[in-house]
Amino acid sequence: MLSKVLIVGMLTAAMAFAQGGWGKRNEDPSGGMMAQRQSQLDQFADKLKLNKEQRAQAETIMDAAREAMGPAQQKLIEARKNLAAALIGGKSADDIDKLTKTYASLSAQAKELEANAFGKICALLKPNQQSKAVQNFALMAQLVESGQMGAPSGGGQRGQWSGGQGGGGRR
Amino acid sequence: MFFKLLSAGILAASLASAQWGGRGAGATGSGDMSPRREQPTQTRMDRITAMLTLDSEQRKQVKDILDYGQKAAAPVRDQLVAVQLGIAEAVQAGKSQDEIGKTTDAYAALDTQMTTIELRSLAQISQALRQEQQAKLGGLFWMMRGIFKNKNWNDAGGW
Repeated sequence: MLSKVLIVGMLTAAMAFAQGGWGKRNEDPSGGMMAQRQSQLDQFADKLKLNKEQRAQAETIMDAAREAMGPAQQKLIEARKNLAAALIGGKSADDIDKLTKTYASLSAQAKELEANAFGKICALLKPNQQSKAVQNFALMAQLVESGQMGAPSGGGQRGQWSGGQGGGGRR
Repeated sequence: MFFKLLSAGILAASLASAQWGGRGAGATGSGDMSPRREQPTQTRMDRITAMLTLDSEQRKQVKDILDYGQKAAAPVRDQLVAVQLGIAEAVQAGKSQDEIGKTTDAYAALDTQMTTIELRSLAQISQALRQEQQAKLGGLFWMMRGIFKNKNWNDAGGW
């Protein structure tokens, strides 16, 4: 019974998210998410001192990564829901273990996408810009992930482990 | 006529002050006339309490669960930051895919640990809820993601 109630609740939340929630805000040209993403992009470009051409190329790389990230993040959401339902439903340690392994595998795939994008951005940089790249990986990851995991990127659910850079995205 | 003009001027100034100041000049006491931003005053605990309609006993239970989760998450959070830097360093140094893969796997393991801490807290909270409150657990599911990413999950500024 508990699991059923949970699933109904989650479905309701998931539907709200899909229909008009956080994800949709990305598409709203007047919305805060779009403006915030632009501002983060400016921040990223400023920190690396990118010129106009580099900035445009970096944006293209991040957009492509973001698109590739969509399906990976959807799978992560599913894996997270399954894990939550199992923990709430008191499933066996074996079941939980399987679910956490699935989650870890998906998380690694998502992080690889970010690492690849970061590699491409590093390749754009001039030698004097390279020194600041590493410390801005978190910010780039945040840009790639923003809005993908259903968390409002302006809020506390942001997941980016950015070490004090404000956070956002998955983790 | 002079008094009418004076009164109109005072009225206009008062209206302008009220509009720019929001809550009036006493709001900050600084006397500046710039538009004021509403400061976030609602904590996560307030939001969770409202969303799940928690009574005072449940509120305490939920707070204890999340405080405990925050403590459990602290070392994982620190490692996540370090490992993320490690990924970037490996990529920038042009390490092999295998080596980069090791760093992303390490990150994923920590991410999974953090997720498990978040969701175990969710599961514990669910046990503290009455049946009619359980239906709202879906909203909390979304709120739990990244809840321990800062030092204080209940920081009003975290929203």
